[in-house]
Amino acid sequence: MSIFTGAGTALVTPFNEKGIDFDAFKVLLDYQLSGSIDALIVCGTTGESSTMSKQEDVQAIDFVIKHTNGRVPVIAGTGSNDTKSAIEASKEAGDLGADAVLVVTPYYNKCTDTGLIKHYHAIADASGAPVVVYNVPGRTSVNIKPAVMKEIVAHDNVAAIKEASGDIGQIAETCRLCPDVDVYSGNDDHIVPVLSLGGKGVISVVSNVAPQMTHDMVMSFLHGDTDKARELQFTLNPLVAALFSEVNPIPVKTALNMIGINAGLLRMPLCEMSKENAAKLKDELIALDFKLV
Amino acid sequence: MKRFNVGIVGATGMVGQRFVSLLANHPWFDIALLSASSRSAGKTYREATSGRWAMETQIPQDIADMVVLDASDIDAAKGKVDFIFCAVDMDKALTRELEEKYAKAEIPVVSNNSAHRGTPDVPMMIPEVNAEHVEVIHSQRKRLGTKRGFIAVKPNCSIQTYVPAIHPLMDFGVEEILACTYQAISGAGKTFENMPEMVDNVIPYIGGEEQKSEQEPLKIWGRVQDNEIVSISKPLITTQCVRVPVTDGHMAATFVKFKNKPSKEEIIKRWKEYKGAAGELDLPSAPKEFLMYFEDDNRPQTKLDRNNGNGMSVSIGRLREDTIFDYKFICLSHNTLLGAAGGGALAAELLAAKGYFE
Repeated sequence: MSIFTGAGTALVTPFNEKGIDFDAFKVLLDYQLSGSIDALIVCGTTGESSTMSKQEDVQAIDFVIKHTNGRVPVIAGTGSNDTKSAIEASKEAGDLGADAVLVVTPYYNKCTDTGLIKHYHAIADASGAPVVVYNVPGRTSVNIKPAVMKEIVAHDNVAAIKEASGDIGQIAETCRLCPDVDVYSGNDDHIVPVLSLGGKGVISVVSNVAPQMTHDMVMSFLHGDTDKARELQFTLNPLVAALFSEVNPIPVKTALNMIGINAGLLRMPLCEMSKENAAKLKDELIALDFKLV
Repeated sequence: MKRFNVGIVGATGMVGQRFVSLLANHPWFDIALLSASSRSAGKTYREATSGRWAMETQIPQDIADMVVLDASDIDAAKGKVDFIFCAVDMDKALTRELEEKYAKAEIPVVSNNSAHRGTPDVPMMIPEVNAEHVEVIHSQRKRLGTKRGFIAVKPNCSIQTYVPAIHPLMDFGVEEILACTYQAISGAGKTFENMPEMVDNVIPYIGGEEQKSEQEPLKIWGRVQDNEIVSISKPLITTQCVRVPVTDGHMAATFVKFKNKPSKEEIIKRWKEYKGAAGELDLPSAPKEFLMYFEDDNRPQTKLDRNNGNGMSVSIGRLREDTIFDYKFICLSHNTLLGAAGGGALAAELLAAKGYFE
């Protein structure tokens, strides 16, 4: 049984000067749930987990689980380039009630293919919640090749893959070799292509801003209306491009603030968006009929 | 807890589909049999639900390939299942007969149908409210001449919105209830695709719903006496049930008159502290918070709140004094989860925990 089918939002974390802005977080979660979102991912890269303390991670995961209250599955980002830390964080997220944990490949120190398999199996052994393997070589400089992925997902507690390599050929091969686990697109501009390879949905950044359209895109495809899904992909792609014109989540937080959903501050080293890129982002939001504040 | 093999009779309909998606990951129950009308019999479950699978999640792979059996073939279920969920769309008399046949074949039945709701030795269960009614199963078995076979039923989905909300307030002497329900189209087994008349529309009639809504709570709140459930005569209940253009979630605008009028704070406290048998036994489908009270004036909302507690909580808001009754409030529950398949699963969990499937 899938962890979720449809669109899951890789949530931004709203910050204020003191820390996490839970009032703003609540508004963001309700905006997502009202927009028919199918899952919520907390403390992912988009949530700026790199600049959150361990204590803040726990607070954010606990808060999202409690506020969501079973309305949709909650997935916690618990990856680390230190296997032991990833194990501890995954155990803790499972204890808090997360429906799954999203585990990125070991970045910076990197590892061999054998190291990747050992890393994921050690986490899957220890974690109470099922593991979603996250491949994003653009950020981590580590790529999980399809044959290696096949060995990783042979573990019973590995339930899904988030593929953000951007390489459709590789994703097709991964889908072919891993038919027993669910594959989610990790790129917003590749949602329909990944669905066409048997994907179950997307773990999305653009859905922070446009949850309903992202949900509708996936569901149209899965219910057989591929023309509508493709149209929605094309409609959203210019906004997706604007959201990745600078390092994520700078543009998506800026976009949320523009449409009146308080996403709060960015944490250093992320900084304010350039005026030119912000102006383009604004144009794309207006083109999609968002009301700006 | 040991695992039980279950059958879903009426597996292709809306509630049957909800059972399939709910039980795919159930910690106690494994789907061992799917059956439906003779039209679907012999097809795989995927073929039988082709074009009318209405759940958001896809059909679990191992279930999709199962061959659907004929619901009337009771022999085929013997030895295969420990009990069945029954959610057939059939004439009432035929449903009653079918359920008794399963029970007499020593296969316990947890039913979503209305056929047996009036039978005095058949418990009509909301596990959070009237778990003690399962006691009458012993006398029902005597009547049926069975050792393990019996029938337990779920009440109508519309009352599961306001009965749980009023239940913790019963000892203030609830005298009169008025409830207007705003009911989702999935309650009719429909989606917007096959019920296009619901787009941009409200239909002020749901056949039989008001009678059920006014009668069933009196049995739910009844007491066990001489091996059967005796309905209470008060409170007086009046309802209007209206179909509204939403996919899932029944809302109820509810008005209550008490003998001893409590304060607003007392009512909210009762809701917040209420924990029924399902919560106390920590049953897998029991939500952490059964009754959730919202302070915001614009809550609960159908789309935003129907899935609270995995669709097993009742969301309540806008409690205030009324000009004619004592209080009025709005409540909401998920009609095919708490109100049907989820409530059915919870009832079965209670029966399993109390040893009725041994």
